[in-house]
Amino acid sequence: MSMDILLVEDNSLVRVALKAGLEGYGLTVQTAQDARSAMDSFTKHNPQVAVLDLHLGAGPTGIDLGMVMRERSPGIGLILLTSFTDPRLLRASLDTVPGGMIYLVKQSIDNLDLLVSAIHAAPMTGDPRPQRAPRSQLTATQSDTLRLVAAGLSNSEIARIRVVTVAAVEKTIARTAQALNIAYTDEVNQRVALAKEYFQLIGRTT
Amino acid sequence: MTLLGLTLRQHIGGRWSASLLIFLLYTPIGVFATLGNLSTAVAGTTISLILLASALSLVPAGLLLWLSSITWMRHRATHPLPVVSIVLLGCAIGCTRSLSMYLLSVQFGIQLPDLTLAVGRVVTGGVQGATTFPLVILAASLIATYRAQRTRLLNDQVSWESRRLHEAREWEDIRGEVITPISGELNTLGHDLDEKLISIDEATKAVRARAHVLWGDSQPAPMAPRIHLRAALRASLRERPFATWLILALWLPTALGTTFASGDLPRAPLGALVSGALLATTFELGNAIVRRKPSAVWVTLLAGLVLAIAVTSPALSPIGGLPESGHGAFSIVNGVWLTALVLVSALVMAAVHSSEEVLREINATVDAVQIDTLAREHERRRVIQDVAATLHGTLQGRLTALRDHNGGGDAVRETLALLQAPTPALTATTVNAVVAQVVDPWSALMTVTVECADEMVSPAVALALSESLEEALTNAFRHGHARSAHCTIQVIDNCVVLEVTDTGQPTHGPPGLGSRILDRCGSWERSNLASGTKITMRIPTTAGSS
Repeated sequence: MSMDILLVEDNSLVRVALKAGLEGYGLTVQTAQDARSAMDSFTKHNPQVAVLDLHLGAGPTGIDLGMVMRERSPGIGLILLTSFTDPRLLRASLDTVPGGMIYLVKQSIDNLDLLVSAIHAAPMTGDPRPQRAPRSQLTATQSDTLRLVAAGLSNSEIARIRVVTVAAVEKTIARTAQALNIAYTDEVNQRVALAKEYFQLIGRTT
Repeated sequence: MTLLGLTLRQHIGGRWSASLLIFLLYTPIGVFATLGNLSTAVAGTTISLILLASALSLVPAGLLLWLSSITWMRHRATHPLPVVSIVLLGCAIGCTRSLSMYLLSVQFGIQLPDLTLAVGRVVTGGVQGATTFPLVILAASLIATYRAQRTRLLNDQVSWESRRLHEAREWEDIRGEVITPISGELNTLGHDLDEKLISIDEATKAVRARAHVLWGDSQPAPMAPRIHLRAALRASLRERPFATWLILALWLPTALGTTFASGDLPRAPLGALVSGALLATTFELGNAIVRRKPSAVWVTLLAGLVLAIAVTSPALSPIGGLPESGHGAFSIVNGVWLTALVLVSALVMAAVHSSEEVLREINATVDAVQIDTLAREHERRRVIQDVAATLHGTLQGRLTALRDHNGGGDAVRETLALLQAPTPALTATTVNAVVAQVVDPWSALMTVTVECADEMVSPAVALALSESLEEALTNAFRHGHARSAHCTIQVIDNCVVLEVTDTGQPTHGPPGLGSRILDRCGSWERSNLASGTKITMRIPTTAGSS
């Protein structure tokens, strides 16, 4: 049985490649590159499953789109495709995802069978209420601080933004490094190691 | 009260110097208060002996303060002290001093041993300490805060200016250093292109490394130093020379304690209460006069004090068998004590009053500077991305194509032009354009209506407007679960005023990351409506125009 899929992805190469790949499995795939075209396509085609990229540039995220799609069509299956292992690393406020949403980290997909089986398992049968997003071992404060360290901000600037003392920032950084197993040595600059870890956690290598 | 709590928790005796300052301020008050208690002193005692005893009695109290400052209060940052513990410490210090004063008095033969008197002294001392100590600390710590803030602000200003100049030069250098050698090499094209590609890779790495350093050095925006405590004190005195309730709160425990200790009940305490009422009337009269004629402030202050001493001394001094010669000495003591109270309370009031004023002023100027800084960071990131994209992406692709097709002059010229073109500057834009850009993606998910002024704004203001509107809409959708919102954007009094009203659930809770984003874009407030939330944001249009 052919399923109607809506694929929302802002990266055009990934979009066309995934569309071609999924169509090879006999799925009918509509694509969209942003929130507006996604909602237009959703209204027009009423898909059974939406595969959403988490980060769609400025404005709503894939999770926001999923929330509205679930409200309008409670049975829709939702798959969040992302390079962020923890959505709080993108923005600290992403605490919940729609119920039953499947969260797939791009780096862990090494063959399309995995995605296709997720698509077949996605249509909503369980509790449609929002659920907690998957999380790394970091606390919300640590994720937020790690993001600011990776943005290259100094401790005093981080303290100013987070409205805490510089000493508190230093402590949070030390605990974050501990949680991520980054040792404090003369050979490794802790800040650079933290920034590197952040980019690995969000799936970007620079 | 919040201000009092915060200040006490943050500043109490964590450092030697602060403890010393507190004690120096507390000492004269303590001495005079003790003298006030000595109405039952035996005949023939000289004032100098009383003063000596009083000064000596401060030693155990000072030791207690010092011990608490090196042990308990030092760790206040990690284990914040509740305000009540500071009051208790004041109480303990007061009790210690009164007790040692009593023991010394007996030892020196100033007075005869009497248990009731001793208990009365200790209780009075405790109440005095509990009321005076926190207020003195508040005054001392506010002064210390102002001084520290002023120094920090001045330093910030200097380092920010020098960093800004340094950054401007660095950016010039980046293009110069990276582009000039590559241009030279490209001009002699025809040699081994593989090598050129390697040098471009290295140049790209260098640019990224430099960009990272620059970005990492980002400094907080300096605030304009505008703290004038002396002016605030003058202004506070002109507005209300006598902080009546504060003075009474400090004076009454001493007066009642003294009269209770005399044992002449209930006549003596009643006398103290009546004198308190007279004191209040005198001070309020003084306040009324100054309100009508602010220039008379110093005369009123002096006259009010003299009158206050005159009305309070007789109520207290005849009690407890003080010798005739002691009455005059007691009046002097009471006068000095009252003067100290008036001055300390005026200082406290000025500090509290001016801290609000200073905060307001700092907020207004900081908003504009912060928006500039936000724009500066944004611009820096944009230029970094542009340089990296030009070198790493486009240029490398073109050179690879050149290698494959074995080159043409046009392709080289195009490549050179691409390298030398500067990053297009951010331009001034209209409010309409900014709003449309932000609202468009959200309007796919919720109904967003817009009422918008069509005015030009600077790039910095446009950026602040776009970030705050984005934040308000995100907040309405994600936390308020609103599915419709109304935005009004007007330009009033050199401010872009943005109002976003949504129909979602009211949001409570502590300020999160979103509010910090809004803080950086200007000043804002959130109000919960009957159904939904309203966020009002003010962005000064002066930002980014210089």
